[in-house]
Amino acid sequence: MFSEPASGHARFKNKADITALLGAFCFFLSTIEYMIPKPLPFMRLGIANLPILLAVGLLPFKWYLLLALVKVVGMSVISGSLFSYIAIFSLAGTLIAAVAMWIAHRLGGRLITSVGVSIAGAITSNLVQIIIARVIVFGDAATLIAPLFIGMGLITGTALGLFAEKFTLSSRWFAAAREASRE
Amino acid sequence: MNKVSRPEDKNSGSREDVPAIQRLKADAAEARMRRKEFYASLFPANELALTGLFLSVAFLFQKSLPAKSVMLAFFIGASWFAGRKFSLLATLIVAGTIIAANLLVPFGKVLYQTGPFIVTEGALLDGVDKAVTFEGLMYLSKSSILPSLKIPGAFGAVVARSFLYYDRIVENRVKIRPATLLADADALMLDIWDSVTVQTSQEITKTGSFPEVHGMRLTDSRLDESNTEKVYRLSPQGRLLGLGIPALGAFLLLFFLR
Repeated sequence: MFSEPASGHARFKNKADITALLGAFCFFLSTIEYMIPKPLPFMRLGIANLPILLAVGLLPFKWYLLLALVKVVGMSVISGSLFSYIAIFSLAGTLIAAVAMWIAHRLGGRLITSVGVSIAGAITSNLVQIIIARVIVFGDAATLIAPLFIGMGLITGTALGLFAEKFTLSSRWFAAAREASRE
Repeated sequence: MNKVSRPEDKNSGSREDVPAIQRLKADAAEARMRRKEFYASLFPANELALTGLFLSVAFLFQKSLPAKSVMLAFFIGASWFAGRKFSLLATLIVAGTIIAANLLVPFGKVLYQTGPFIVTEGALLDGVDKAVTFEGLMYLSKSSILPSLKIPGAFGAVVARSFLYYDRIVENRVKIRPATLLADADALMLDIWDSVTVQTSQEITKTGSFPEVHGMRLTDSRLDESNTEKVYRLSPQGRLLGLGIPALGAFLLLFFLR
């Protein structure tokens, strides 16, 4: 999987490394998100999706989807929630958001900024999570929390998109990673 | 003349209690870590996960609510034994939210009514069942998934490398301030990128600097199959349990699916 270097200090900055580093930041941001008080226990701000948003313009689709899976599986192992409903929420929300952001980025081209891409991901992720909540936890009452969820998605999606927009323009790491991903 | 109290006098009544509370907390944390280590040394991670998988199916298909509740109590106990954090308040809040949400759509016999709020038997039982299932799967998962779980294949290798980077992020001393958020985040990414990628997996093996997740060491077998260091050495009894517990899980699965 990893391109092993000939000498001990040679670097192996390839797509696997970029994926792994962004995956680690997903874990880190998930840990921070876990510490932020929320009005409802199921509500997620979605800040852990920021590395996936950055990866839209960085990784090929295969590695991009792998990053989404690394985020879900890694966080489930750390928190021990791999066999719980939480993992189902996380898997569905993350994968659908990743695919929606990829499609928005590809179809929108230069017409759509990171803010638009991020909002597309946040809204689709929240919609899918409401549908799952309706089926397995809350029943029909899930529709009552839908406006709150969608509203939160809009706010956090915009904030994350603004951050990603500025970060991709100014970051030295992002520029270096983009170079490495082209090799 | 009024006596002017010194700032420390204000807290003099509780000052003696603070170290005692802190000591209790520290003792509890230490005891939890001991349980965590003992649990990890007792069960092989992959076999335990397999057992958890079998049990989760058995639990999901259990139709009797009392039996399901007994299983939930057992899973909470197992989770405590595994050294996982347990908060009764958080558990009750989550369960209460699920039950309350289900009560909003009434069906079945009316048990209680005040104003527009109606508690019906069907909605209550449905809500309790969903809450027990939700919490049960959560605690079963917490007791059957160890951080040392080895995910096989190429995907497992990427996850392992992510854990390595995550360890560096947690250890990193770069301060992130709101005023310089973008620059600080960039500096952190560059720092982590450089600190890890200069080391090959062989160097990591030599220095022994394996990543730790929640205080538990990951083995380098996540990175390279040829350089395996067992952090948790299993006793012969542990190996027997490793064979026995998935078999027990499979038996329970068949029993409940009859």
